[in-house]
Amino acid sequence: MNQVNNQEHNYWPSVGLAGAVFGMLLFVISLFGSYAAINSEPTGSYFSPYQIIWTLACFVGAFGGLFAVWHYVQHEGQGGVTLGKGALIGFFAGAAVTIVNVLLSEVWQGIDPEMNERLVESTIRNLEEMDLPGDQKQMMIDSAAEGMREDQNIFAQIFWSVPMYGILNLLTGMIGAKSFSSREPEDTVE
Amino acid sequence: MKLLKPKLYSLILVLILAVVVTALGGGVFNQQLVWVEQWQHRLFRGLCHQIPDRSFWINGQPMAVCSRCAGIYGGFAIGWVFLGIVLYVKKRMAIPFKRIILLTIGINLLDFVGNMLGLWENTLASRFGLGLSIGLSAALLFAENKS
Repeated sequence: MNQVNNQEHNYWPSVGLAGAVFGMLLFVISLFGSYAAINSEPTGSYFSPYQIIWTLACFVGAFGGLFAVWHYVQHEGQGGVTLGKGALIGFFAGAAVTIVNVLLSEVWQGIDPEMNERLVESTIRNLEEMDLPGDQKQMMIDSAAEGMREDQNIFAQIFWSVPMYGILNLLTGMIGAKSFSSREPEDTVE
Repeated sequence: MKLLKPKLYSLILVLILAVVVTALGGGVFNQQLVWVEQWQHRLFRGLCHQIPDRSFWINGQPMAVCSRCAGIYGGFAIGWVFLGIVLYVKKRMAIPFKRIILLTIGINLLDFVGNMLGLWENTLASRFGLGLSIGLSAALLFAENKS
């Protein structure tokens, strides 16, 4: 029975590259969506139509694991990688994507320090147009503003983003192990 | 025939079920906090647009993800459970799930672009169904016989 070569090859370069590439893509798409939301007219909804753009960010961010495993197989894995290692590489790639995105956001804060506050104000303008009772509207405004300002903390961003990006990329990492191995990753079937 | 690595299968099963339960949002647990600030919404904030009009509602609150994402996560969970059964009773299936995944992703992208351009209007159910197709085929990829 064929066995996938499980010698310990270094997967960190693949994780780092996936984090850099997909983290940067995620940052650029999110930045575009943020400025589009800031410059849009109030809609009477908490959500701007431009949030659809952030769907693309998710789509991009979730494939870091797949890319990391592909890179690992091409350069280190000698034709194959087990599903378990694919999952591990994927999870680390997801964490790396998140960290790169957060760090780039922090750098952008230095370039445009008022962007986040303008985004909060844009959200508040949208909420003020909503057709809701006064006290309920004010509660939503206060909650949204507080939440958005709390999320600007670098540790909060990492805390809330790493679990889901990690899990998604863990799954796409496993898909990558299954797809890019030239031999069957004999991890699931005897 | 049995699962060689039951721990890996079980870990993925637990993770995807946790994702699905989280994606259901605070309505299932009757949480009182404004839904936009519930922990479920905050976890998925970077992953989904979470627009309420494009999400299912449970108990008066929108899910933490849109209907398409709900389909993807739900489909993967269903597929993963089905995968365990399939691999337990027989060898891998000679079905090209890799091509099926690419096809379902392509159809979803087409649906997204067509709706954005105003060519057609998709619905909660159609987006859920298309998302389900991605999730199911992604999970069942692991049942594909490479040879």
